[in-house]
Amino acid sequence: MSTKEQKKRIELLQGTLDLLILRTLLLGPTHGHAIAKAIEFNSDEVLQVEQGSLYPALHRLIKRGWVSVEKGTSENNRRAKFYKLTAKGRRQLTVETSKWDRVAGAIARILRPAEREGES
Amino acid sequence: MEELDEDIREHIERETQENIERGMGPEEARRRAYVKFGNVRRVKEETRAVWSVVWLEQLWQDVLYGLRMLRKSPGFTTVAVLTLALGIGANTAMFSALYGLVLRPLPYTDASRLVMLWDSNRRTGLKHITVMEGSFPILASQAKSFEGMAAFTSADLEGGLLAARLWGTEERVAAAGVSPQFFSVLGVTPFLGRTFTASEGVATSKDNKWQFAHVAILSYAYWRQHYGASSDAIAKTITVNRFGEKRQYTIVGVMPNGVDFPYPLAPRKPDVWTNAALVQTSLGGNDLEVVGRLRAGVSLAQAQAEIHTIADRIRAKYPKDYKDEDVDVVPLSSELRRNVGSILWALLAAFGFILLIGCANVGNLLLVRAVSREKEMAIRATLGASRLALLRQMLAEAVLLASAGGALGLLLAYGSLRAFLALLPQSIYIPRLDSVTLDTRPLIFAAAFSVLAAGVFSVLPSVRLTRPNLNETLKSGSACKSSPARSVLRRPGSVLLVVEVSLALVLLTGALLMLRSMQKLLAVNGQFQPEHLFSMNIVIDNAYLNSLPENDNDSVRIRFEQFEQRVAALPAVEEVALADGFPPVPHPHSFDQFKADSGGGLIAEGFQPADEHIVTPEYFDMMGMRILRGRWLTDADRNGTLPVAVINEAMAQTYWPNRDPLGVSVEPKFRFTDKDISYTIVGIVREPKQFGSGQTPLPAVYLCSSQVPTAFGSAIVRTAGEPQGLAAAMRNAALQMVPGHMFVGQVETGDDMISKSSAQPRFTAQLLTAFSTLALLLAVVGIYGLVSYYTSRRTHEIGIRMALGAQRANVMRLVLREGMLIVGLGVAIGIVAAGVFARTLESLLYEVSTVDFSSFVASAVVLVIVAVAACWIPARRAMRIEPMEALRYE
Repeated sequence: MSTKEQKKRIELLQGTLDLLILRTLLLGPTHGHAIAKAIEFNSDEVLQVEQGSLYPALHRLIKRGWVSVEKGTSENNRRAKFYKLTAKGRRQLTVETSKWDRVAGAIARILRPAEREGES
Repeated sequence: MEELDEDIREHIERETQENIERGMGPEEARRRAYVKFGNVRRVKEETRAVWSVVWLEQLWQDVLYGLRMLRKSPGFTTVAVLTLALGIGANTAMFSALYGLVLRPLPYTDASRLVMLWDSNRRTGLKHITVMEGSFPILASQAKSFEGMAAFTSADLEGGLLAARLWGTEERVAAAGVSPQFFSVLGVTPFLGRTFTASEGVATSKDNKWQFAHVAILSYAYWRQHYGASSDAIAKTITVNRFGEKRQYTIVGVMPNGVDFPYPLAPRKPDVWTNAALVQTSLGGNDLEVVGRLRAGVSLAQAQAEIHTIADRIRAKYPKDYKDEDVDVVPLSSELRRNVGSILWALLAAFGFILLIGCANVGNLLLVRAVSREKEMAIRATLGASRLALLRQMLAEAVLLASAGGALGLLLAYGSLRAFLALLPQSIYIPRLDSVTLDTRPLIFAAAFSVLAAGVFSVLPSVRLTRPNLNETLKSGSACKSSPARSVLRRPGSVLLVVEVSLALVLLTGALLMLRSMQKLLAVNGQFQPEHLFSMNIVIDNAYLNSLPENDNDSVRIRFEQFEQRVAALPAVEEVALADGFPPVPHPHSFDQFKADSGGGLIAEGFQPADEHIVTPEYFDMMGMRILRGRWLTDADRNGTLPVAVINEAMAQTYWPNRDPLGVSVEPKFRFTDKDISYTIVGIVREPKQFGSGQTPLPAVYLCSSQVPTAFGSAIVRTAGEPQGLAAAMRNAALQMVPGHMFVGQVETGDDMISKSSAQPRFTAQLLTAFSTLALLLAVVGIYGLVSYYTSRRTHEIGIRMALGAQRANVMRLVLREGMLIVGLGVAIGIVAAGVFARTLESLLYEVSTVDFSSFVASAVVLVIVAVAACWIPARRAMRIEPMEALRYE
């Protein structure tokens, strides 16, 4: 089963991960493990995040001021760090999202010109 | 960041938990969690890199760019680095010296708790008087704020004529008498043997004679030198001849290396410590120096308060003799500072000025560069460089320059410190000179200095550059608006230059004051030429003195007179004088005391400290003294005539502030004969300050040797030229005074004397001259650089002026006027600052007022002339500008 599954999963492009994290945090502050789970779950487990790579990305976002950290306790009373989207991060998310849309659209047009013609 | 580990652990934990919930075994669950997480170490590294890489890279880029910029202008870089190296190097060396001499704590356990106790007189205001013998036991036994208190006397360390017979030769031994608690107060234990016992510190009276033990502890150095570091030294005896009286001391111990108290309070390191046996039954005289160790947690103020109440109790016990006495508690660390004359502070200021001038110069260079780079900066700003980035760039360049200057300065410091120590005349007495080294603290100091320098000279240009008015700068090109003289000072660099000029003036004035003081000294001392002086110590032993009849006061005097005549007859000898000790070694307090028999004044009611000098009339010339009132001692003052005394200015001012001491008679505490003799004051003199350590002289009384029987003294001889064989002839003449009963010291030559007397002001004058020359040079470079730069920037404008008909002379005047405006302002400020600086030199100046008009005028004139010369070159260059060429310029 594993071989088949692995083929279906897509390695994430660097930079895209940032966008996904921001998007995940839009739903509310949460801890690192939950972010990884959320990305996996929401993409129907297609997007394979090597969980560790989440952390450099998170710190990059903290440094840019898009994400902030606060301490708290999780559902089962364990100590955890909560990552939270800042106002700046929220703005950045809209920018990045529209950028992504443009890029994705452009790539789609290049890859499927016929379809596009058909659509229009 | 430090929580990253915990974060990751937490993450793995959650994943494992989830896996277990899915039905995996714990082992498998954990393994899968790790697989899913990926390489933990790489994750950590990458996360850390997020935080570090950016600024490191930026810094690296700034440094690289800075290096490139500096390499592109090698002239500027060289001048700037050298200037900084000079300033930082000189200051580091000076700080090392100051640290070693003054600031480095003494090498004793908890040295901060060590204090000195001094008597003070509430009526005369004199402080730092040695403590009265009888009050010490009371202070020591009653004071609860002290862990211990010990008495000692350093009198024999310097003035005393002690000789120990060793292997048939005799030599001077520096001995300090100390009470038994001395070593435990310092917190030191003997290297060999033991310290003194309590009973060895007490004198007992038996059959009307004082009896006490004679025991000694050797210093490590003396033990190695004279006893070959052998433990056999213990229990041996050492014969010490003190003022002609032989005493056998039993050696009971050896101190470890580094124990040399009361040095550096006293001028010499002791060779031996002997037991000071105290008379406990009467108040006695002010004979003791007292050191104490405060109990942990007791403040100085608490200790002082307690000592005051004990002094009150002593006063109640001895209402008459202790009437005005009080006791002060002084930290040992501040005693060290007291002993260093103002010379070091003056030099430190001079070094500091050099550094400031250096920084100002480099600052100006940077500023000028900055101005010419305004366009570059404006372009960079337009292209999106943030203000911060520009500032960082400027700072990077400044820091590069400063570190290069600092590194080079360190080498220079090492060299100049060695040179300083080598140049310093051997026996200018500076305590702890041997502890001056270039160690970590001065190194830290140098680094701090570099950073500070970088800060100082990068602030102005940076501030200016980070506020570039882009529009203005880009538009203006290099077309200059004509600038009226008033706007000169608004130009960047002018302010720094004004500061520079005024600092140079301060140093120049200081140097001139010192030089004039030297000149006066030489003029007043006309005949005082230490190069041609010889001195030798002479003691007649007690065996001979005891053999003389009870009332024979003449034999010894006649022997000395015969000796004088014999020496005077030697070839090349011009004059001979006798004194009871020569040259006078600066010591922070007096051991002699006098009382006035009549005439009132503050000295009338009890004995007060005053140095006693027993001299022949010729001494006056030898020392270069001046009569203020009355007369000096003469050959007519003989045994049988009225006993006379001459006092110094300090004594007159201290004890008779409101009245005339002439005609008053004074009585010394330690009598020379059984009869009470009082001496009538016939004159007041002023001694040259060079014989002190740069401090105000202490009260002193000069008595005529023909009226005071003494069996010891120094012969001082002035010669023409450098006669061969004089030393041997002098020794011979002395040995023949009373054959078989003479102790004759080595003849000290002019070199020894120079260093002990006038060397210090000479040295200060030389150093200040060197520094002011350097300052002047730096200022000239500064003025020349800035004026040249602005003139070249105005080539275009000058061309237009000339094309429009301006005469060459007009152009020259224009340039000169601007330079002179800066110099004039600098001189004005400098004169005021020099007045302040001169006050720190006050104690070093002889017969020269700190507001000496001619010195101030002379230095101002010199500075202006030099400055005109510095402006002249660019002005001439401007004058020669060809209008057509200038207009094509750009």
